[in-house]
Amino acid sequence: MRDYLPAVLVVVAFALHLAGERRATARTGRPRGRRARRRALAFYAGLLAILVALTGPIDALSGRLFWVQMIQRLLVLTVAAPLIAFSRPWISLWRPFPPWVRRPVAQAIARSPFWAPIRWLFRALAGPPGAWLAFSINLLFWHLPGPFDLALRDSWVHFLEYSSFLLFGIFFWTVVTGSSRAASRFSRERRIGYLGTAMVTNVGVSIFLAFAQHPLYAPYAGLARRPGGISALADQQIGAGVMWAAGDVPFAIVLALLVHQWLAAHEATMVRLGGLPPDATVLATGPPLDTPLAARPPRAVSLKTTAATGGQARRRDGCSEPPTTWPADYSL
Amino acid sequence: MHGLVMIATTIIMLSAAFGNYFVPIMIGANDMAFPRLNALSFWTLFAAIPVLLSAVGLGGFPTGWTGYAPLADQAAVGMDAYCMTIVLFALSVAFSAVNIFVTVLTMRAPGLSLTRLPVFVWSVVLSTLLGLLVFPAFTAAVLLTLLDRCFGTSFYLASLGGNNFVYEQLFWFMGHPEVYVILLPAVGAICEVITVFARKPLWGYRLVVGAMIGIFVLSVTVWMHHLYWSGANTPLDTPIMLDTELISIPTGLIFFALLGTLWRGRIRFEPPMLFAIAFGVNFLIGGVTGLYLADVPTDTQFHGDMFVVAHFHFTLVGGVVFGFLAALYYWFPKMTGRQLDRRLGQWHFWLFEIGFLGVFIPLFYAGWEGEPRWQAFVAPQFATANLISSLFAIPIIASVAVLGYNILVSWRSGVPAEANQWGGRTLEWMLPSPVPLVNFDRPVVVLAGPYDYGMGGPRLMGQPVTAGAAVDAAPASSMHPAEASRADRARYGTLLLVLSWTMFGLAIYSAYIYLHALNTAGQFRPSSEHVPSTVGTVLITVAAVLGAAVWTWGRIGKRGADDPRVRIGVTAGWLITLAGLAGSLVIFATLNYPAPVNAFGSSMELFVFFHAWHLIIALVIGGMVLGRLYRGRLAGREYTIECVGYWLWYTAALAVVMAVLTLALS
Repeated sequence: MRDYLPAVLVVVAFALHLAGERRATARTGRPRGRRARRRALAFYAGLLAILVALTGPIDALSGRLFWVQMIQRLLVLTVAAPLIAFSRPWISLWRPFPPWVRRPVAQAIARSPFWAPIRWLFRALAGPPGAWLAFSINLLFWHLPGPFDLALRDSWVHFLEYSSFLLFGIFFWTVVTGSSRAASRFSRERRIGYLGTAMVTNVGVSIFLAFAQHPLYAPYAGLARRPGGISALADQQIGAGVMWAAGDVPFAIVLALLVHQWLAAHEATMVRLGGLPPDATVLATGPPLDTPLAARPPRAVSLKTTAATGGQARRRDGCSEPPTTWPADYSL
Repeated sequence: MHGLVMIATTIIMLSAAFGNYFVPIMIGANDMAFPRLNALSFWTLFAAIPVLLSAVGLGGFPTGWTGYAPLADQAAVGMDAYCMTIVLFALSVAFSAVNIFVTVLTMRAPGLSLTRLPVFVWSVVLSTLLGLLVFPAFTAAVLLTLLDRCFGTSFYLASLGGNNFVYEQLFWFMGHPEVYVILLPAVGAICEVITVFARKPLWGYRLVVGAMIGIFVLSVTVWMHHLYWSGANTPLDTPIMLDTELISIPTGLIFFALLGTLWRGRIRFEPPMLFAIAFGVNFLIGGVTGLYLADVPTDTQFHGDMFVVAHFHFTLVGGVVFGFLAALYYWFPKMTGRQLDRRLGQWHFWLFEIGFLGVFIPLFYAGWEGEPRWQAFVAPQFATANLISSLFAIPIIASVAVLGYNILVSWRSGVPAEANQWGGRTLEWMLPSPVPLVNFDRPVVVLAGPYDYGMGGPRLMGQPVTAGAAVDAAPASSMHPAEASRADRARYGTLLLVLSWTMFGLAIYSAYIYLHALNTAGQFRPSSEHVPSTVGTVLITVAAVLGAAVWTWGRIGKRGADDPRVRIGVTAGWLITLAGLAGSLVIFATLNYPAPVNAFGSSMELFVFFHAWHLIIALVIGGMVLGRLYRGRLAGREYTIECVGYWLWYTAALAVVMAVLTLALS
């Protein structure tokens, strides 16, 4: 039963999401827009990643090879979690339930004083500092030999482990991708630093594993034989390398996307504001720039914000300076 | 010696020289954020030069520029000169980096968003920031060498539980990002030059910036490709190989951006452009041969060969020096007000490029055939290649002579340069040549991107400035925007210094953990006499945390500086810190110095010194703030209390983390 639990949950989530999407379409009468479809696809891809990671050959091999377990974790932490976080499937997953189930549950969770500690915990863990700490500490925790070995021995602890990866991963990646309203208020520059420091944690753990001089995890060390005939230490080092190199790739891709979005957003803001940042202090008012010098009256210098000088902010740059002509007497 | 001097030169020649001069101008500022720190950075570098050259008279350093232990431990006094040079140099880089980063972050002109920064500014910022982050690891490695040599510790002595592999790891953790520290400003300068001389906006600005950030991030993860043949031989080689190949992608993207800029441009082949195109050719060769070295199978053949030498000379000389020369020809008129002679520039270029290719291409061949590096004796089968290589050094010497003559003659009596002879669009071309001491006599407002040809470029206070035009003197605004954010500048600066210092702490702490892990001989911890006294440790940790808390409690915030709580809190915090310093001295007194001590004891001594040093810094700066507070001269500088608070909290966090982890590992 426990082996099929991930598959069952994935199928249930898939079914719920499909039903939710169909309900949304039925309710509005219009087909889902492009963005919603993209998010739905992202969600299904995330579910697929979970399925690939936790069932099938990867799961089978992960009991025998440490580095395959690393791949399993990476798939959940850095592939499935960001995809699911980006897709924000929560409404669609909730929609299939009938209103007489949804309303009391939602009201209880949102308002009941009984659930107040859970609400507080959620807000703490979903906010930027909490999400980062939870993600990193959780990652570190499950790499400690004690919990690691326990998860391999007891399948419920194993389930708890991967649920925690998924849960804290979703919190973390929600902040990074700006998926929730609160997260999207977290500026992009900060998100870049946020993601960068999380990469450092990942690399730090993998460096630690890479340079350990003997196998740290008893279940793998105790195996008599591994596929490929590699030693336990080599297995561990390959796993560290996988975590290091392959683990960096999803982080790097998301980082690249964030940098691209950040620069593009900056540029769009600049264009929209007619060239000045929202908090700029225009240092002088005066006639438009393409007025010839002689025609300009002397002007007073004053400090005003962009909002007050609406005209300035919307100036179009009609004056184009011709390229400098080549000086005729350039020395040879 | 050649290696070290050249590496230091390539680091500073673009980002220190042109960066310091032009980054403030390019962002519309009048000076750097911390002018005195700027001077300190220069003078530290200046002081490093005689220290390095003294090594020549002190027996030299036999390790080469890498300074590997354990040879470093056994070498003559010249090795100490090497170590001190590195420490001074790293300090200089750190100060410069803080300065540049805070300047660009806080002193940009209105309208100059980060997406409108010229690529050169981006490249200098990223380069110096990377240097800030990774040079502390080198400093740590070299510090451990110094401690081994002068204080009887045994970080690198195997007989007492040390391991020289620690040095290699720390060194190359710095060593690989360092080549990107060297490369990025050159790439930035080349982007500027190609944009101006192809008379087209830079193609793929976001691509270039994103690629530079990608290089920044990836370069710190791949240092182990220098260690393929260090004897470790781990399965880690493969993932590192893959990551190294991954770095070639952003570098290639920058190349594509340059090609896209050249495409359908109206190219003018002035000397800067000649050097820029040669950069493209040389760096392509250097980069591609680097891939051969990144891949383990081919590196098996080429490790320790002249192939490696040719590769890095192609990237460093063919790439960075050519970039420097392009920048020199491009910006010389702006800096001195005189034009460099064009014909002499062409002679310089062709002599240098032909000489350079002639020197290093035969070395590729020699390396392919197996000639080892680091050897004075040249075996007969490599004689021809080496002869050709040596002969082509003559054109290089001639080219340098031509350059020297050009500079001297042009500077004294060259044709006066106008404000914008190349037709550049970045802010420095809006100023007269040479640039006056106060860069901008009126505030700047930027309305469009730096490369938007014909669509309205930056403006000086509302007027497009053409060369030589008399601009009517509008009264300068009373408050330059930069002054409003002085507190911000101080805060960012402190945080950056803390970041750099954190990397240093991480480096020495990682060295300790690594030594612990490598403890095969059982020599790491023979007895409890090397464990520092518990009383002292507790005293340090408690003092650090308590001091930070009390200092923060006394911070000014919304209260005035006269509030008694401020005085009590700040004074008490300072006194508690003093107590912590006393604690570290107690620990030190109980250590078994100066008898030789094993690696564990060495680490404990180092940590005590490290903590003590933190506390001394806190006491000095805190003392200065305290003095101001009691003299009543804190007005307008309330942020200084905050900054000292950052430092104290950092000390506290460090103390706690170190205490916990040391206890956990022992």
